[in-house]
Amino acid sequence: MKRRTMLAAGAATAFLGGRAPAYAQGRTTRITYWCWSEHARGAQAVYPRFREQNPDIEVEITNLNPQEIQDKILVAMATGVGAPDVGLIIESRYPTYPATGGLLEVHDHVAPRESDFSARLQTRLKHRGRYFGFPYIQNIAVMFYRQDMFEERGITAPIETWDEWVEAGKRIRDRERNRYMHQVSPGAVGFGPLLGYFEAAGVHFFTEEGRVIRNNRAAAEVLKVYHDIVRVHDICLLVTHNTPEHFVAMRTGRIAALHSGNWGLDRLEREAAADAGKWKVQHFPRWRADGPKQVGNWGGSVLVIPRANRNHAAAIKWASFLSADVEAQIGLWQNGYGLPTSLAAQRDPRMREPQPFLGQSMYEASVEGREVFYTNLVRDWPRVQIEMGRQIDAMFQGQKSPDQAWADFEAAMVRQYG
Amino acid sequence: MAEPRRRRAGGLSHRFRRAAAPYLLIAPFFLLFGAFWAGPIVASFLYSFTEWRGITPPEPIGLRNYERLIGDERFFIALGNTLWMAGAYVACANLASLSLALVLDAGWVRLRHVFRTAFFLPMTISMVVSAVIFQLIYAGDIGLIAKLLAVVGIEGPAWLRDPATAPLAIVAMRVWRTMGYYAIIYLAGLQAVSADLKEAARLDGASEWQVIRHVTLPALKPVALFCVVLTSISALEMFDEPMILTQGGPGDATLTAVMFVYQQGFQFLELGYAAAASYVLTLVIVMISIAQKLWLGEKER
Repeated sequence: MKRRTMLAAGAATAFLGGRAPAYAQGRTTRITYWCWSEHARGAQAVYPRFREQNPDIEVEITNLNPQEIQDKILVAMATGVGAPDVGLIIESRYPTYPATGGLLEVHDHVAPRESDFSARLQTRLKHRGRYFGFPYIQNIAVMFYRQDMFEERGITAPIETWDEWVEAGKRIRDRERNRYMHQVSPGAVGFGPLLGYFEAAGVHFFTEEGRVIRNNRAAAEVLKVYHDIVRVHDICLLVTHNTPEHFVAMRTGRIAALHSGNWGLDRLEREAAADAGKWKVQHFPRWRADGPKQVGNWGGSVLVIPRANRNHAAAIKWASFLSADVEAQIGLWQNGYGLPTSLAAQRDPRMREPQPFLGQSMYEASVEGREVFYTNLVRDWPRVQIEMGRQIDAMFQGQKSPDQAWADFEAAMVRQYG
Repeated sequence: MAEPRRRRAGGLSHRFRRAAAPYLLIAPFFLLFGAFWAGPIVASFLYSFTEWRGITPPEPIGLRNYERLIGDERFFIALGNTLWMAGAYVACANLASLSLALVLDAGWVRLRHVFRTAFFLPMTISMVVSAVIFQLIYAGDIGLIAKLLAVVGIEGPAWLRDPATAPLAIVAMRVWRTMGYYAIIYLAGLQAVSADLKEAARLDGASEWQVIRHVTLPALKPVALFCVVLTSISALEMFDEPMILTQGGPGDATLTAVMFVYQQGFQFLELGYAAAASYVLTLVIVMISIAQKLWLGEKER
């Protein structure tokens, strides 16, 4: 064969190879997925099922620090290189992303199954009426508690309201001064858990248009309760969560309860393995006995596809699988305790199966039959988080009253968001 | 007729090649320098005059970012924290490193190689691991310091939650991490000090302290200047320790200038504003370095 013929044949093969779909050539499309700890474990667990359905797509699941993912994806979107094909975004940070123009619009893939996730979540995920992210999982704010400690003090769970919770906390403290009811985080990181309190109380800070709700007495009241459980009733240990001090408190019985999202079970299983069976879970206390059966979030996550990458079709299949496939959503719950956003998955009988560490079904005990409240988010949520963190610190240090802290927070937000 | 023309052209090409060769040889350095050093420096300076959210095109806004910085209370808090923590760190780190180097240099110390390695080790430990260790040291009632203080009946503060102690706790951790590294530099300087000079001083009746005070330390001034400038620059760029230990809190007590830049740039997506803040910080670092050079250089003269 002449050299020129060989070159022509090579070029034709390369051209056809470039045009034909991957599966027609027996090639596999490899995509990257960035997520963190329990989500990586969940994804690994459901991945074989995805491969069965999509033998032509391989997913490289990368486990990164959650904050690092948010920053890296933003940088990758800005530079146009280095972004994953699918990324997991902390839900509160999601509103920042669609506005950048760097995310793939996925409206046509999410809108047809709107009836499978809650209306408020639909509002959260839309930007100018269009979807730029796939609903993934939620972390409902719950209360884990030590049944043995409660029983020792004659406390019966579930505890229905905050007033009753405070009374129970006093009984825990009365008998042993080195033991607290639960732990509360100061600073900006403390805003994550605090948001669960605000949401359980049905409080918004912002309108749907992103304007500050002024003279927000309901929000100020929640902040006061948060202050009082630490400084007035003295039932809470003021320690940053997910620090060694917090883990030691879990392990040594220094706290009788743990406010957390559903994922907290994963933490308990690792940090307090010896106490399996002693820990139980209940719903977050209600704000008022006659109030709605409402719970808040300890953050949720959204699946996004950066526009700069080329494997959109494969990325959409993976994100759709994690988001909509009932088996996948159940798998994420079983392996990482992320509450399915898919309502069909929530109705699945496996959601009522007990978790071995607790000996009870977390879903039945803390979520089922309760409405999940989603507060309105705004762009650049860390700004809200950091400002609230400053006010929480000033409040816990006694530099400001809760009312003053709320007023100062509101003023700072008005300066930023109007 | 064609021959001389070809020769002339060949000569030109040869001369061009000869002239261009040195430039081609040094071109890779300048290309890399331009792309990864000078380019970003110039680009970020230009971005500091824009409003830019990273992906949407930057909009020129003149000096507005710098004007906004002047009125930004948090920026001055961050700058103040940085200066005060840097001052404390530079003093403590250099004193500790120098003292350690003097001890390691003393003739009576046995196993000095083991100690030298041991003091250098913290520098090699991952920052996150160091942070976990120090979180346990500083932790409220269960921390190492709290337990030791409890033995003598003292209730210590919540080191990382008290605005008065949190900056000191961060400085202490940084000193622990870097002390061994700077001690090695001081030690190298000490070993260069003439043994004859010290011996002569001893023969003249100088005590060990007088030898250190009047012979060793003056001879160490160039090394000290180097270490002071290095520790100052690294301290003014302090980020990891406060980010991991306190996230800038409580309140803004440990918010440093670089953390401020990070928050503005990566968390609030105000990259133009972050660029302006980073240029002001650079200016501060340059001014401090010049002042140190002048001050220590003057003393040296």
